[in-house]
Amino acid sequence: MEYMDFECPSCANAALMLQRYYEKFPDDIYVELRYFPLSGHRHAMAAARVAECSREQGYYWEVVNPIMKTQKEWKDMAETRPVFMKIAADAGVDLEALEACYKTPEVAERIFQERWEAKKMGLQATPTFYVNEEMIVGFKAMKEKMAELFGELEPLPGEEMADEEAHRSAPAAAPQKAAQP
Amino acid sequence: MSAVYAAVRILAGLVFVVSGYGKLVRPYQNFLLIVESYQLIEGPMAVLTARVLPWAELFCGVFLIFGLWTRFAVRAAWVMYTMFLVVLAQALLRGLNLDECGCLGDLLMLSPGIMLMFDASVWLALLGLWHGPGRAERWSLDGLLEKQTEVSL
Repeated sequence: MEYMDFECPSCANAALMLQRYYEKFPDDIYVELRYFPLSGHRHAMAAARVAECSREQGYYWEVVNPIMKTQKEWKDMAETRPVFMKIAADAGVDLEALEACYKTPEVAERIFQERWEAKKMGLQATPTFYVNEEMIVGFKAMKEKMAELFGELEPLPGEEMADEEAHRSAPAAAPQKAAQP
Repeated sequence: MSAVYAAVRILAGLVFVVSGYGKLVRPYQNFLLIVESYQLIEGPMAVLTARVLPWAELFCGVFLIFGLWTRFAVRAAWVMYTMFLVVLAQALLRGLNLDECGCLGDLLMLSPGIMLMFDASVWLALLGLWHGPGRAERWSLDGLLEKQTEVSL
């Protein structure tokens, strides 16, 4: 289980890494995402709302993955909602229903509920993972844990060893299997 | 003047207690992320630091507030703050992005520059206490125990 924030660079790195592991070990990995939008990240909530509303229409990873993949492109923008809406539209989400869902307070409440539960559990930073009930905080620690469980990943083309920036710009793989809370 | 020293001692103690308690009530992995973000130690050493340091802060703070074993507590606190300053300064000099390995959320309330100034202020205050711990014994258990010893003699 991963508690994540859409605007957090380490969460984007982790998403890409987990996708690659999932491609390699589809029968051994099960990922569940939980929202933990940090208050300092102004676009995190909008992204979470679009993701949650897309999930209601049966498109979750189809929206989550491109949002994470393009994080560097939108994170410094003033207005990101149109970007997220376009990603959802490209994935096949019905925009009219998405717009209606986006405005409902229940969606925001669900996201805040997950955030509140995370805070109650003592979470303070993203990404925070629970791997077989073991708590792991941060991308680097998770990378080490995955390497311990499944072995090191081959570096991507053009990827410099141990360079987080390389992960950030690396191409992403196919969506991974997951269950939503 | 001794009241000022005692107030500084109690304030420094409160800083330690708040800092240690804040880390201890949450899973240690949160603090481990901070420890590792300074890129000085990793692995079991980082885990040990993340587990032990909050307790050291808490005990040191309690001893400072109550003024028990004041000389020892002041020196231990000063050593800890010297360590914090060195670790933080090296991170700033190396240009480390302290938020790089994770989005620290509530963990990093102050910017590294402000944190450096805050740590330097506490470090100076503790240095002042180091050189005059006797004067900081007002409103302390040390002072109280010393008085009782004098009476019994």
